[in-house]
Amino acid sequence: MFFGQRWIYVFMMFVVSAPLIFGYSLPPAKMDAASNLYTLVDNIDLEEGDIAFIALDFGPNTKAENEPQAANLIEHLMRRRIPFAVFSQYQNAVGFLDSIPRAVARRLNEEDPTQVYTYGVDWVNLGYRPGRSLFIQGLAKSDDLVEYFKKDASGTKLKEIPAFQRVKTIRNIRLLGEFTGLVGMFDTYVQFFQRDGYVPEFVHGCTSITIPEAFIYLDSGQLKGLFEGIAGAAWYSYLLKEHYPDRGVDSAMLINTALGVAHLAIIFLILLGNGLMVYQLLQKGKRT
Amino acid sequence: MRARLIKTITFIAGLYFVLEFLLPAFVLKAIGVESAHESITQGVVLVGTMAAGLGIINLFLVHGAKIAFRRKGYPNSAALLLGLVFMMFVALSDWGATRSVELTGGSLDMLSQFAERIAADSAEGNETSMPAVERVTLLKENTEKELLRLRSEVSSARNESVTLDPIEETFMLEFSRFSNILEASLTTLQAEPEVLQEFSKQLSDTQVAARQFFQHRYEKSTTKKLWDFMFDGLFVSLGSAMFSLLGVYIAAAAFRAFRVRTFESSLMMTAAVLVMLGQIPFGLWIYEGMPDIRQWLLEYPNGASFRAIKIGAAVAMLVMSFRMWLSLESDYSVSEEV
Repeated sequence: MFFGQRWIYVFMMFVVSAPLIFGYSLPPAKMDAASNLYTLVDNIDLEEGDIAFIALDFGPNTKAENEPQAANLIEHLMRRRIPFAVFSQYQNAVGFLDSIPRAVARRLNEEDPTQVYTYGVDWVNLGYRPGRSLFIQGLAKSDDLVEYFKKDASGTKLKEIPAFQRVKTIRNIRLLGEFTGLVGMFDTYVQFFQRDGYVPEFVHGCTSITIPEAFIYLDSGQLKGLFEGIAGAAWYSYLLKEHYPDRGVDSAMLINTALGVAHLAIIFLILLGNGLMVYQLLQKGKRT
Repeated sequence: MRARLIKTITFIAGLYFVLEFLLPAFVLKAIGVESAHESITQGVVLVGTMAAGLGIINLFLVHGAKIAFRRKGYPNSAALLLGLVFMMFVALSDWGATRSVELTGGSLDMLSQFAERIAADSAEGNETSMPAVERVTLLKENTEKELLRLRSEVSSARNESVTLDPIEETFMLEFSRFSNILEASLTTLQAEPEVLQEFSKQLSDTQVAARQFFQHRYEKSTTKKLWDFMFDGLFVSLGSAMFSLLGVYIAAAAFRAFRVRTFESSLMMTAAVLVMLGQIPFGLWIYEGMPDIRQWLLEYPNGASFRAIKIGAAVAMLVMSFRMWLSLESDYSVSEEV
């Protein structure tokens, strides 16, 4: 074989890194599920004490896809002044719980210095919460979420945090956003994040690999919106840019272009592999 | 005997959670489960968390022995343990630093709420165990004490640096301004709702200014830089690098193994190519309706087959759960039976 494995590795390295190095980005393909998500967040009417919950259940492995998704949703919530709480059931996400909301707040403040986003008022970090399904069940059944969580990630009592002043039960959670690349994590929320027929508007950010699985929940209506891998995040970025023209460039579109080039390369390699197979078969036929 | 005890405990614990999930709320309330459930749940979580501690002990035993006896690959074990200890140290230091920033002027926050409470009670004419004048005196005394403590904290932090950067300087001036306003208000503080509400706001402003000053100092501290280096610089980069290998494997597999030899494989390849083209920006160059084709493929053929897979997996999971509940899957029971 004249086209060995290590050459494929080198080829892929150049193909993926070229758009990232040269900062080349293309308009993304339209993603209906991400559009639905955008409309949903744009139309949420909050009542007193309402809050959004965001579960960042991803680690460094799927950061490239899940981080831009989470950052986009957080940005939209912040722009709409919808208070939210971030938490995680995955220990490797701890760093992101702090860094993503702070980075978005800083970016929005730079875009419009009159808008200041404050920890405790606009968002709360509830930190890593172990217990998986037991934790979710307890949360859903709790009559006093402030008492259930007790403290935020840095140990401040929740009753002293303005965003949680009037939050009581799961009924105050209007939106649940869950971001993960882990198998089995997202199902737990579908099964248990509900009480007496009340389910918050549930949206999800998955990696490209898990899109097929997420689609069945989208079709059944259990999911109201979906970030379909980095392509969904890029489309959401595009929509945000359309509605907020002063918005700066983010990484979603750039990564999406790089991934697009990688997909093209894979298609090319499939065709090349098959072309070579046909060529070899023809040569063999000639010899016999 | 030991196996029987474990089996019994496993069965009772499983039965508890099954019944807790299935029984209606009023039954659970009547038998007292509802009030105890949160503690039981936290107990289970605690047992799970203890596994992390056991894991660390196990790591030290296995790799410690490897290093002590200089077995094959001991430098890797040493790197693992060093990384573990260092990361734990960095994470704890960072937690301590962020905690101290969050606690800055926490008492001022409480005093601000106290001032609001007195104002509300005065405005609504509520009867309280202590007269409003005495409550205001208490408020004054504690504010003086807290202000003194906070000023000394800020000034000792200030003395630690030779020069202040412009942002730090701004936060410092802001704190001085608000604390001076607060100090001036102390002399005119009275048990009147409007005055108390204004005082409450001043307390809150002073606290926010102090916290901003310390937050900025934390952002440029060595602790924060070390944490960023360890988490973002090393952990995140190494994790991402490991996962990105998957992309290279897929590309290699696409070239070497994805051969169209049968009708089924050609169907699979066509679907894969259409889904890929529908998801990337370049697909639009070929045909504008490519995202719709992708959407249809994912919604119908994929949705139908994935549901079948999920239902099959769920039934298998149910059977597996029953086997675990009845201790038919566990090593301890097998070893004793054998």
